[in-house]
Amino acid sequence: MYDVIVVGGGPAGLGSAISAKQNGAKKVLIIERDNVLGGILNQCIHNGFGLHYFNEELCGPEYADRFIKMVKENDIEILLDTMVIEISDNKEIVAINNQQGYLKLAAKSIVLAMGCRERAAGAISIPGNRCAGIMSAGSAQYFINKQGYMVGKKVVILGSGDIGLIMARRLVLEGAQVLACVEIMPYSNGLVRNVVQCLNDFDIPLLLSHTITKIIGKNRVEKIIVSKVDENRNVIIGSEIEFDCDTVLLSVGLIPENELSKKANVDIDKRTNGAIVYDNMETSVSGIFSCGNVLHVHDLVDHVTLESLQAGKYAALYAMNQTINSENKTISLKVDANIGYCVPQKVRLTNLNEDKKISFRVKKKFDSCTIIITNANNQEIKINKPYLLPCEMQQVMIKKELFENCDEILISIKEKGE
Amino acid sequence: MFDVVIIGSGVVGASIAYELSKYKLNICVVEKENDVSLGASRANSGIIHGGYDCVENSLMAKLNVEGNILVHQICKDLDVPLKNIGSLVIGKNDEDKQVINDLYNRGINNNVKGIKIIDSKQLYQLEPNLNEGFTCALYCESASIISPWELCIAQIECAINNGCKLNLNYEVTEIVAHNNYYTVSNGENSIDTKMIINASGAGSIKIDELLDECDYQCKYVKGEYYLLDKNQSSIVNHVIFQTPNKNGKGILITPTVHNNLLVGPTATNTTSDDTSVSSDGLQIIAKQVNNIYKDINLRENIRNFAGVRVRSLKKDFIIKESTKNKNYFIVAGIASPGLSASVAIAKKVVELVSVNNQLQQKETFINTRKVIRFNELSENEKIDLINKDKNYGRIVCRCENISEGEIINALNGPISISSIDAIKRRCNTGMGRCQGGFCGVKVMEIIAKHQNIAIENITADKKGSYIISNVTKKGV
Ligand SMILES: Cc1cc2nc3c(=O)[nH]c(=O)nc-3n(C[C@H](O)[C@H](O)[C@H](O)COP(=O)(O)OP(=O)(O)OC[C@H]3O[C@@H](n4cnc5c(N)ncnc54)[C@H](O)[C@@H]3O)c2cc1C
Ligand SMILES: Cc1cc2nc3c(=O)[nH]c(=O)nc-3n(C[C@H](O)[C@H](O)[C@H](O)COP(=O)(O)OP(=O)(O)OC[C@H]3O[C@@H](n4cnc5c(N)ncnc54)[C@H](O)[C@@H]3O)c2cc1C
Repeated sequence: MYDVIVVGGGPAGLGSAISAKQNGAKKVLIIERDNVLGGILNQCIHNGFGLHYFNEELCGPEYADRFIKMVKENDIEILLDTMVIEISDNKEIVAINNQQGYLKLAAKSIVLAMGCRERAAGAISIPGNRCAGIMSAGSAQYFINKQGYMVGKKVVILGSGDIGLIMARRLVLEGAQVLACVEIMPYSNGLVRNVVQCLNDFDIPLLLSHTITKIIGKNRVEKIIVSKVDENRNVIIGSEIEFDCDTVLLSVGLIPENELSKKANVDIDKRTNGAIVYDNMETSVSGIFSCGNVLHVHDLVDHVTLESLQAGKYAALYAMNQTINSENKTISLKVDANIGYCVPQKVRLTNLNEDKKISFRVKKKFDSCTIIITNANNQEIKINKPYLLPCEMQQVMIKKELFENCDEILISIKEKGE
Repeated sequence: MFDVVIIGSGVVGASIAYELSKYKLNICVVEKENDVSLGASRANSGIIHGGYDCVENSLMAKLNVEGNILVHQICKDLDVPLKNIGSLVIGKNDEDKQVINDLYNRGINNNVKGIKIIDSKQLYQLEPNLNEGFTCALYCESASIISPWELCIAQIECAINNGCKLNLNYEVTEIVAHNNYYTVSNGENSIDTKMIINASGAGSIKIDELLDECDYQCKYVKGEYYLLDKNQSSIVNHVIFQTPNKNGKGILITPTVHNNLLVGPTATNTTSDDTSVSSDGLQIIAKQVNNIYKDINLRENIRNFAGVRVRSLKKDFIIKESTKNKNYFIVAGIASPGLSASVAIAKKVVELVSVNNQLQQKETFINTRKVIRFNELSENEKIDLINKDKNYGRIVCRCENISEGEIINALNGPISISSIDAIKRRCNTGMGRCQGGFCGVKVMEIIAKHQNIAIENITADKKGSYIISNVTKKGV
């Protein structure tokens, strides 16, 4: 019997395993389906990781390496090349690999850290042919950075998510032509620094309020049509631009990978596609915790790490019976219509010994505005912001005092002049 | 010299190959693509229709109803996924009721088994998530859903196991008629044969013209679809048709044997090879679907696709021996319900062939095929399997939980394949919500290693659908 089993060996899994061990769990195991630890970081050979956590600029594998070392030093068990295929709500894990075969493992607590996957072409229904040469930006990243294969010579990128931006630069450096990055929204969906460093510096046009309206090609992409859209995202007839290209890379969003969580009967938040969690990162199933991209999509790995340390700590405490997680007294965290979601979604009254960090994302772009956090007793916290963007996750600390004597907290956004 | 060359390895060519391989014949199937089932047989609704929809006394009606019955045994013998879920034609008003009545009567005349008209109470018991307001339906118990490409693959594999040859990447461009045999050629290699069966789907007229034949005309009608995530499949229990009216049949909604939900098809006139998806087509589907089920969410789409129906202007199947060229058999205009009828079409062809040719049954015919589907096994079966072969312990496709062992089985199969989609059709890798985003690369690695070919030469699908353009600079 393990104290804590962590499913997934990306940054979230590594962080939570280390934290579980350091907080007293004795037997900790990480199960990872790949043949190495590190998760998606292994294919992120660009810089920009660790600025917040280490105050240093590292590339993905370097960032992962620091945690992999700590995992090894902390005497944490590891199963690589092993796929978890089932988790039951009594915390039994079924995993298989080609060495030990079919494994059934029991744990006192479990941390879900399976990461996310990219949205595929189907999700956006582009008219035209179903030819080769349409691929997600992350798949292209894997081919190029891990396998040494190029996926095309003349490329258009659809969506301006960070992975798409990073790949635009990568493709140019590898000798491909990147003709444009096409984004349906009137603003980029990636971090500002990535737009500057990956598009502007390489003279790659960013076509905002545009989308691909047709893909043409017999067996491989030959040509695409890009059109402008109006403020309701309807295509404007007559605005078509043609691009001769052989590849379309999609960077149109990430989806938390929660098939396993659902099998374990974990309640899922429709807004995040991740678990609904309490302030200790525990899901609706007692003893099952969740963190990282499987919980909600993060833009910075540093935030993943911090969240995972919380999850690991509380998973350890749970395993050692040091927490009493009664359902009966909880405070719900609500958001107004300007905000897409917040995590955690609930705070337990029994657990009000510390301030709470809340993460959330706005639904649209705001210029100079105020984040307002109110409790039922009309106590407020106000934080002024020069701007807020959907692509940048926000985090606020809420003082523990604000939770006293209330059963609901509301986070809202007020625009200047409202 | 072959006894028979079958041109085309869609479900019709495959069924004919399967039936004929029961006889002492030297058979060769030729196919222009790099795998079987790449025409209409892979892009359709996957329904084994009851047969009430076909005009009375037509060949279509007869062969649909016969095929509907015969296909069950073949699917059992050859391990092809088929589910007998039944179909419903749902109606709202008196007009619909009249049409449903007519369909019922036609069904009875066509000898369709298990049809009845049901009232709204029975309807909502069968389909609790249906929108309100439907008052009656034609229920057809004998309708089923099937994996169309697996029916095709299974029959070809079985034929090959019984001695049939398959030439992939062989596009017939020339046929020379001699006194009592033919020479078929792709411009490079020629094949001599006593008989030819033209089962080339949308290509049939072109083939006929090589022999100065063709006394029929066809039109090509495209049907477009949404294929939705598994999370939508529990909304619908049966194949759901709308009542046809003056605007046509409208779209249908059906679960698939792989537990997705399929919504479509549209019907627009097009050319024989146009399988593109259009924004108009997608909009037509989007407009209709929530009038039937409000809960269906097209944002759960995982793939759009289109198939081309080949309709003869005579509005019936054409299955005959040429009057001009002896032993040249034409199987053309196989529009819907061609999939449902396919196995009966094959029996009909055998009948035609045997008029002038003595057919002798083989003493031994291997009529079995078993596919390991890891995900469907019990715990103990999984344990045993991994113990026997470690490759089943390596899961490659995370959405569908497909193991490396299954992919290797597909690669070891009788048909030589080297595309990602060929693996997908055999093992369901990449059929799930990520559509191969995760496993595509891994499948490529396994194909490359197993077939001993360079990864650059692996295609996504047909010839020319390359994935890798060149290698990176590798840091230089
Ligand atoms: C393609 C891509 C590129 C990105 N680029 C950047 C970037 O440039 N900068 C940045 O800050 N962030 C980037 N991100 C965000 C990045 O994902 C997160 O910062 C961080 O890697 C998330 O960590 P994680 O551990 O939650 O997920 P992951 O890193 O995805 O790790 C999840 C791990 O779980 C394993 N796993 C999943 N399911 C199972 C199972 N059933 N059994 C066993 N193991 C399983 C996976 O193999 C994987 O190793 C990128 C994300 C993606 C998808
Ligand atoms: C949108 C749609 C929905 C449908 N739904 C249903 C349904 O639900 N139920 C049902 O019963 N039926 C349905 N049908 C009909 C069914 O799909 C067809 O009747 C059936 O697939 C026809 O099979 P086939 O073998 O004749 O044609 P195909 O599958 O098109 O096969 C013809 C083959 O011949 C090959 N070929 C062509 N020319 C040459 C050449 N010169 N040399 C070598 N090879 C050649 C092609 O590459 C192809 O592989 C549907 C059809 C469509 C398009």
